[in-house]
Amino acid sequence: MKQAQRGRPGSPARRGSALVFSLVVVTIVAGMAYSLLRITTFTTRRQASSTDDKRAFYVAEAGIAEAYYGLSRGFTGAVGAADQPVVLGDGLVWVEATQTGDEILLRSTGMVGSGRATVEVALESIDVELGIFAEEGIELDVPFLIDGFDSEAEPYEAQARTGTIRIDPLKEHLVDSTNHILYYEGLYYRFQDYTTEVFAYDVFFDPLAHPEYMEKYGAEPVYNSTSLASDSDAWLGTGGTAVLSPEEQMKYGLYAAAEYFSTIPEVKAPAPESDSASSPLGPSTGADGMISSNGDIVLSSDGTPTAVYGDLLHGPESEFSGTGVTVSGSVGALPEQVELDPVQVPGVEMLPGFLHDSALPRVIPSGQIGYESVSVAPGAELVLIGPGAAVFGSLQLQSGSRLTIRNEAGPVDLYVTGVVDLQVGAVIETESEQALDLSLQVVQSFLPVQLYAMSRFHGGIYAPGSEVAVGRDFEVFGYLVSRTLQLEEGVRLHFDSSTSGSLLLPRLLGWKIEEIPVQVRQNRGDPFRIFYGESEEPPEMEESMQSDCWQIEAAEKEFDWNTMKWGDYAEYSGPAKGFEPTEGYWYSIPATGFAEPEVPGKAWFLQVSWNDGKGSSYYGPFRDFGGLQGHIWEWILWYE
Amino acid sequence: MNLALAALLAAFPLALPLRAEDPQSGVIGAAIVEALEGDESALDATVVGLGYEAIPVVFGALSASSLPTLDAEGELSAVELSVDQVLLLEAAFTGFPDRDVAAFLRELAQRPLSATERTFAIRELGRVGTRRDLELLTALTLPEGVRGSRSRVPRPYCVGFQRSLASIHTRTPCSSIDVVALYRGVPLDLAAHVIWGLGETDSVSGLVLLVELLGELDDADPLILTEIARLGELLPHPLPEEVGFAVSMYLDAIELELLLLAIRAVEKIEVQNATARLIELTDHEIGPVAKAAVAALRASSGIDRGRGSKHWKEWYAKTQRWWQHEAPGLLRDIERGDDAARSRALLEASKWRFYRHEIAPVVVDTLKSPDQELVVLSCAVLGHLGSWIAVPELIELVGKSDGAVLQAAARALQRITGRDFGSDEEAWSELLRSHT
Repeated sequence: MKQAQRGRPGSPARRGSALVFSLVVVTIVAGMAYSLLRITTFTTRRQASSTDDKRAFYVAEAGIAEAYYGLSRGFTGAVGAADQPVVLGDGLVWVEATQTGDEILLRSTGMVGSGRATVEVALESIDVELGIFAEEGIELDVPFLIDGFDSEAEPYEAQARTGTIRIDPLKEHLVDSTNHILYYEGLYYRFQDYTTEVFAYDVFFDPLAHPEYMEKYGAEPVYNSTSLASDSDAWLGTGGTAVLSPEEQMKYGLYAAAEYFSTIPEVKAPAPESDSASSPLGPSTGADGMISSNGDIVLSSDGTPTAVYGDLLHGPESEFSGTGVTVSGSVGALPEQVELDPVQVPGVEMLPGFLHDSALPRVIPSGQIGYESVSVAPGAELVLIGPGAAVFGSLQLQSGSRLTIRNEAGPVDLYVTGVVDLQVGAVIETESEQALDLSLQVVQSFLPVQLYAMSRFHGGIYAPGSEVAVGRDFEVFGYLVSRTLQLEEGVRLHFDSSTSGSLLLPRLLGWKIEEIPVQVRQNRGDPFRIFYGESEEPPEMEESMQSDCWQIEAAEKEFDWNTMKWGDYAEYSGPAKGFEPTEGYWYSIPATGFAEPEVPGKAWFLQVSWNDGKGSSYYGPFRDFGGLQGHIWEWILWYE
Repeated sequence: MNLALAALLAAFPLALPLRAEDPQSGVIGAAIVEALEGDESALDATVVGLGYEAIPVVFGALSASSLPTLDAEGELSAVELSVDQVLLLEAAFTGFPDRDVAAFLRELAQRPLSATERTFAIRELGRVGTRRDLELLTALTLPEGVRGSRSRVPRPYCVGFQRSLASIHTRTPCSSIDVVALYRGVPLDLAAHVIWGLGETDSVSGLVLLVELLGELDDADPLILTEIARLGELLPHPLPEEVGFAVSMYLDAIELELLLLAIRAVEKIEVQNATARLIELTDHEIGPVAKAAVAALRASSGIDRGRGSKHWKEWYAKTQRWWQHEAPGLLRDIERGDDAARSRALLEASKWRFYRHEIAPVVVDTLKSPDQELVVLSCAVLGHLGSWIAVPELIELVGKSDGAVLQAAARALQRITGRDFGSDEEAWSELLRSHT
């Protein structure tokens, strides 16, 4: 049967030609489809690669921002390392920082998917004392006071001893039954220790200005140190009278005071005495203040003198004019325009916003945390615990609310990316009196930053892109940087010179896209897999900031393992470059990288263990140490 | 004359506290004025000798800086007191029996008070009151008409309430039942001050009580955990074990803020048993939680293993192995080894900060050695370990030694306590007393 079919005559050559044709067509179509697929795949890959490259670029840029943030917080600017990049968004990044003189070079390499990008930025570190600064000129026609002090030396109160008060009886004030001032011009004066009723009067009180006092206690009363208080328990002294309207009393939340003083007959305030050296706006250190601007500074006052106890610097091509204004220091121009860098907000996960309206205080824990918006209702209290950085989309303290900043255990940096509305009648209390322990940084608010709450704000305010309005109850002990500045009558701003270093914000000189380092250029795989495999966790940004500060403890004398001779301890705490080794056995662990200090005739030895995925260690001469890759766990360095 | 009359009045106490406008007040006031103008050293005895009836008069005088007295015609008038006289009278007031002052304050709570009287009454109850007076403390703190849970309480009263509660608890420790009742009986405005008042005791008993209150008071756990963390940082360690157990339960909290506060509290009160859970949390998907867990582990171990649980697990296993297998021999060497072995063992032991409270007692024993170099080394190691267990012996050493040993002991104390009193044994002892 098969043979019969095979041998059938008639259509020898044409038989199967359609099949051949079909096969050819199919082959051609398949080829075209394959080519198309290749092209599509290639295009997709290119697009993906291009997208990844873009994302890598953004990550590299964000790395620069983190490095910048680190620099402004006293770190070296380096983030992670080439062999240990850190997580940032969907990618990994490391930033190398090189400092030459005042110039800092930051090189950031970002990696996302197959994308790679390297950005290099040159910065200049500038050391400018801005004090109270407004970028676009300052024009004020109300009385205010600016002076300065150094919180590292003594509290403001102690340094303001030279100040005296003249009382204008027509202005709101409060004196006790023995004519001691409790309140005047927005300032509170109180007994040193209300709980023990020790009647030590405030150092600002000038007996010479009060004849009644002189008559009663003599010319040399005992002065004790004291503290100012913005809380209303300061009002519970013995005897007194209030010349405050009910509205004012409500404004300050002085319920108890209002109740108390209403029962006591009014005592006439002491007559004012003229004192040309004193400030009409209350006590002052009389010096060390600073007000500056890139533009003109125009100050005028209608009869009530305005005092700038310190220096005034207007813009390079601008002018100063003052009517009824005392400037005790020098008046001059800034050497060049100060370029304010934008606020660098740390990357934190933003939690949903909230309105806190419970009478129980809400606690924001230490560490880094963010909320889309924060509003505190009347009668409610928000407590921020340091150390930490909080990022708020907006911050509103409604009248009658309270913000307590517990920053004695560590600094609090409060970043607000939108509206700041601290209303009249709200209270802000800062636990630490060191301005470096608190900063309020406002990214850019289209509405003015409203600082009308009652506060003795010991901290820095950095709002370079915003208009800032300060109410008379908001007393700043630190610094204030803004785009424009508006002050209410009677505002008191005290520049804390210990914060001058904190204004050492690096200035951008230039930037460029750099060649991608060869080690990451060649392998375009998933960077997480390349660097950390399946099981290992890459480090987080915060823990990879490289500190420029060492804390070293040492036994100064020689140490012998056999005889165990230990001598006195020595300590060093400060920047690495300032460290000078003394002879001895170094026992503790600097925060990061250690360059062998030179000690003539001595050889350094090192014992170190580190994490390179499996855990390694070295023990031997420092100079024979080949270096390590990974995080150092523990190390001890000594010389013999 | 006035004194005699006043003594007569004291023999027949009235049912209600005197007021300035009562004629008897004038009699007692006149007696006090007489005493104030006489011998200062006899003032206290004279005032207290006037008996219970004098309490409201003196109280009123301290509140108003004036005393009611009788003039020549027997009419009531007021005598202004100087600052010095007020201070003298205030000192004399503390001489009245606590029980009588408390009874007076109970009567005082029945009538309207001025702000000064209220403030003074709150403070005095803190001085003389007991845990049974917590209800009275609330009554004195709340002005007339302030009763509802959402009523506003002036802040000075809240602060006074807080201080008085701390004072009462310090003298007569409250139970959790007392505090729960107090917390639930005050307006919300005052509720936080209940927690802060217990924290303000700066005492282990305050800490233990706060821990007992965890979960008992509505919405107060964040505040309680914050106070626990503060006390954990302040108080000498090791702290009672039950404290750690209760706090570590909160490491399973779902709410982010509560979890973060719990991690911080665990870090500050050093809960060894929470180590495994903290290691798990280093892998937490929320960055701040993982960071806080790493920070807590860093604090307890004294080393850094970075983020992620893998290396922390290895460290923990290694540490536990060391404690089980090597530490016993090492501690034996510290106790009984020769000089070289002891020294080596001491140095090795100083690396294991995680077990510092267990190691420190053994190291403390070496402080009695006649070998000065060994004692100096032990001081250094104790300073490095940082356990308060060693503080009493180090203070003793400061008191009886000199030279290198004195320096080393003082230095160790400074490292452990964070304070520096140099070679002042008395100051160190005072610090220890205030912390225990």
